[in-house]
Amino acid sequence: MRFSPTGYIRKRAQAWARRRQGMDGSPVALEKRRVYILPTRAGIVFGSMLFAMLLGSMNYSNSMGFVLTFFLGGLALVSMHHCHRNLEGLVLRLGKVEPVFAGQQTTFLLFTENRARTHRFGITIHYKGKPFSRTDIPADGSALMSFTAATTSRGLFRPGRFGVSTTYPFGLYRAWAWMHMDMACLVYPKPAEQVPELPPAPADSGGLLLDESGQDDFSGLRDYRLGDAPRHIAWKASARLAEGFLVKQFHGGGTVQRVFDFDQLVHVETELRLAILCRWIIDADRNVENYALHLPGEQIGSGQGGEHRKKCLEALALFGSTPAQTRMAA
Amino acid sequence: MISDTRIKLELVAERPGFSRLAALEFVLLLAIIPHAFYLAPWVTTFAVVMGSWRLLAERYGWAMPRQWAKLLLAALGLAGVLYTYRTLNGSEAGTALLILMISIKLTETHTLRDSVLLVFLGYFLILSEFLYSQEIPVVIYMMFVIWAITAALLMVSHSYQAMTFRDACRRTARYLAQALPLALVLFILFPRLPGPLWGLPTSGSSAVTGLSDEMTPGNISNLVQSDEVAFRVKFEGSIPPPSERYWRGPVLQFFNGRSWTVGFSAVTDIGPVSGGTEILDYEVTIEPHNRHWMFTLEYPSAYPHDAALTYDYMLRSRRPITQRKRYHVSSMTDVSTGTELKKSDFRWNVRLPSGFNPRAKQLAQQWQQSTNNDWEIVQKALRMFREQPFVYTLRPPLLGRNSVDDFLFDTQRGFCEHYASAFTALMRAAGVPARVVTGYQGGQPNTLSDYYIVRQSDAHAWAEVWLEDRGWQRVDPTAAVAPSRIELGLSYALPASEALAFSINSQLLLQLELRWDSINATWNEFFLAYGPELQRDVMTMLGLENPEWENLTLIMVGLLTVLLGLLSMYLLWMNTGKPPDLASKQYLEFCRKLKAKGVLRMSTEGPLDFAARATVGLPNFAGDIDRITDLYIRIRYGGESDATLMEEFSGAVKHFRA
Repeated sequence: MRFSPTGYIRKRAQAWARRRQGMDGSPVALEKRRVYILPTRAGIVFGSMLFAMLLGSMNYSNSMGFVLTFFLGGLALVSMHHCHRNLEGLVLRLGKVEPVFAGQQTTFLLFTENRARTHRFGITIHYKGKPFSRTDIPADGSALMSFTAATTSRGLFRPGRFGVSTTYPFGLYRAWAWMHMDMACLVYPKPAEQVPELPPAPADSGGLLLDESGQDDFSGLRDYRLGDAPRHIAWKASARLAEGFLVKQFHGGGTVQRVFDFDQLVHVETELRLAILCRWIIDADRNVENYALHLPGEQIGSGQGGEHRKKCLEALALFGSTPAQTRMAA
Repeated sequence: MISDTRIKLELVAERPGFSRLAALEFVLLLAIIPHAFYLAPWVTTFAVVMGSWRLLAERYGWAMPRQWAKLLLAALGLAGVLYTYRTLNGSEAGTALLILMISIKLTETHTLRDSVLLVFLGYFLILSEFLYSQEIPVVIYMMFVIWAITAALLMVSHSYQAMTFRDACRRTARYLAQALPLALVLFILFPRLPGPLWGLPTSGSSAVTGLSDEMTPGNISNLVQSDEVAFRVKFEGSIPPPSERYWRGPVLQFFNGRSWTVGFSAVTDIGPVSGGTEILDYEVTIEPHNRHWMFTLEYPSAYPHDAALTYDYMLRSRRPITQRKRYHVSSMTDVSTGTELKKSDFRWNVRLPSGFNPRAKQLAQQWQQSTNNDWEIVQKALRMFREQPFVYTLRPPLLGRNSVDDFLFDTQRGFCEHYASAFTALMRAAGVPARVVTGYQGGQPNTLSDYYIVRQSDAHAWAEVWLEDRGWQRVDPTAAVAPSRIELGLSYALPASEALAFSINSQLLLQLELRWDSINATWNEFFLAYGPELQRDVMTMLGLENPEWENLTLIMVGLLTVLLGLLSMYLLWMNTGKPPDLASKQYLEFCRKLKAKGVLRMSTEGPLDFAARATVGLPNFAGDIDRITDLYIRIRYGGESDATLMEEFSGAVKHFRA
């Protein structure tokens, strides 16, 4: 890559800001020294306008021209302080992060709290140069804000730094702070689209192969979980809910016991194996079957239900990663 | 209390929306209104039409005009301005262009940035109004416009959530109030330079009224129809009687048979007069008249360094007076101008064009032959004015080619200019050096604040004759015809049928007018005239020994720092949270008690979630936990803060034994 001076300076400045502040805990209050402020483009235009007005007032020795110029100049100085204050002291707290499948968007929730005696206006969260949410927070109130990022591969996704900024009151200045919060999202492998048949259940379980008719055996409704196919959503029943969806559950024929084994999937490379396993887990869970997951170095015994599914998918997500990374997910 | 804002923002394409657009157009209209009084009507009409069309288009989703249509509109506007004002450079043409630009820009106001630009153009509109007028009522109105436009700026920059215009006004008032002390410091201390930096544009139609360097029958009688203020005078010490208040202006020495002109203008400074004992000190605040002359009483013994006293005793400013100016003069009333008249001056002051006014010449020559005392000749002429039926009137009949003859022997009706002209011509014909002096005579006292107002209606012309033993002597032929003009003023001297349009008969109105004028005078003197000189005076008065610009800047920066420091402290206080109220304290106590039982409240947990978890952990106390939580929520968030509820809550927490 070619050397670019501005890019270099920006990188150094970021590293400096990072070293200066260290890692942020949760909750974190924005201290004065980490809230930076610079004029916006509108602010620069405003400044040039004031300079032109000053020259005009001097030329015509126009007292009211001076008053207008100085009044607006004073306003610019005052609004700089208000802009800084608007951000300083804001408290950010991490929200829960839901796991996603690779390729999906992940949303990081942030609770912003205003402990000041007055409103905070136009608080904006931005990530990678794009604004994501913006709100006013009343005195002693809080707001739920967020930003989203696209995930590409399984594992633990760390978004890195994000910014919180404001241009209130007049859009002449922008005050901002860089946040380095300990946030991560667990990314499951992307479920494979074309899968081999589910491996047969062991003979001693008395189990059967899943037959197509099993899908028609409706057994009840449960809450929507990530990965459920849209065709299984009970739309009519969901419409009565305030939020979320209900999913139809089917009985496949009682006590099916399956073992999903990484090593049995031969002639396939690792990521695809994980993708296939992921798809099997989702399907088996939807059919309310018992299943076990065998990975090299990790064995998850037979079971079913949301917790079991989560545990299995987590194992897939973190397969092959170092213990240090794994600890983060816990 | 928690609002969910997980909406994706498209900040760049944010549209202003109907209500914001309406507010923006409203404040721009407020800024345009004062210009409507002097601009061509089509300019304002154009702005109103474009604004209304844009609002309707927003309401009904009409398409914006295409690029070529906008260019066509802009070209038409430019052509219109050129046609109306014959220039693009003057202040009026500039303002018209600004308004046209705003109107056309409205049709491409799609985004936030466009609206911000419109607000900035609005500020320029305010500035251009100030260049046009700084009268007190205009200034008061424009202050409201500044407020409204700034509120519009707040509203358009706060575009993601509805903010009413009223709300924006309220908040802007607070910011402007905080900016006011800073503006004051900047106004007083910002180092002022003597302007202009690049010259002043000529303003086509707004000609300034005032005396000219020419006197033709009719100019002064036209001028006195105006009640505009020419200058204001404040005497320090003794005040001369009205009949001695002759404010000397241009001296006219060249006569072509009809008009009197300065002829040639001298700029050499002959230096202040000296040797007198009766001295008048006074300060004149003169309105701009775009000429060089400054008005003084005879004869100046001290005057500003940027003025020169010419050989004909007119005080001449080095630069044309294009702004209101204040100057201090001392005059000695008892000095003589010396008894030596240069030959060339003598020749100039007895010169008359040949072939004009034969009858007047004949009469003057008779006088000359009858006596060799020049003063007697003067007396003969004045006696003629007094004894023959001369009439002092603003509406004299038209005069022919021999204007002096016609006036003296036929019409005998005239204004001061006729008398001065005829008298001077007679004197010259009789061989007495004489010239016409123009200026103002009299002045209305403003007893409320102790100064005199001299208006255009006080414009006057008189004569000066050279007497061998006494030098130049003032002779006012008008006084011979209408002594009340000199003693009391113009409106007392005119026949009743010729009352001036602006003369005030009601005593109350007169009082009000004087009061208003004294407010205006103070405004002019201290505020509008605040420039390098006044700044220096103020600094000296405040005890600053060396008011150079470096020192001013230092003090200014210091004061600004102090003021901004105070603001920072206030804002810091705003940012520190309130101390926890009683309800929160009690609730923390309740949480502490539950913690002792092993139920710990998470920092993210709201009271309801926490209560739900606590009742699962401690089912025996479910009733108490629910009751306390319910009370807490009612007090803290429900706004029910009466004393009995609070007492109940405190009691419940106190008696809670988990």
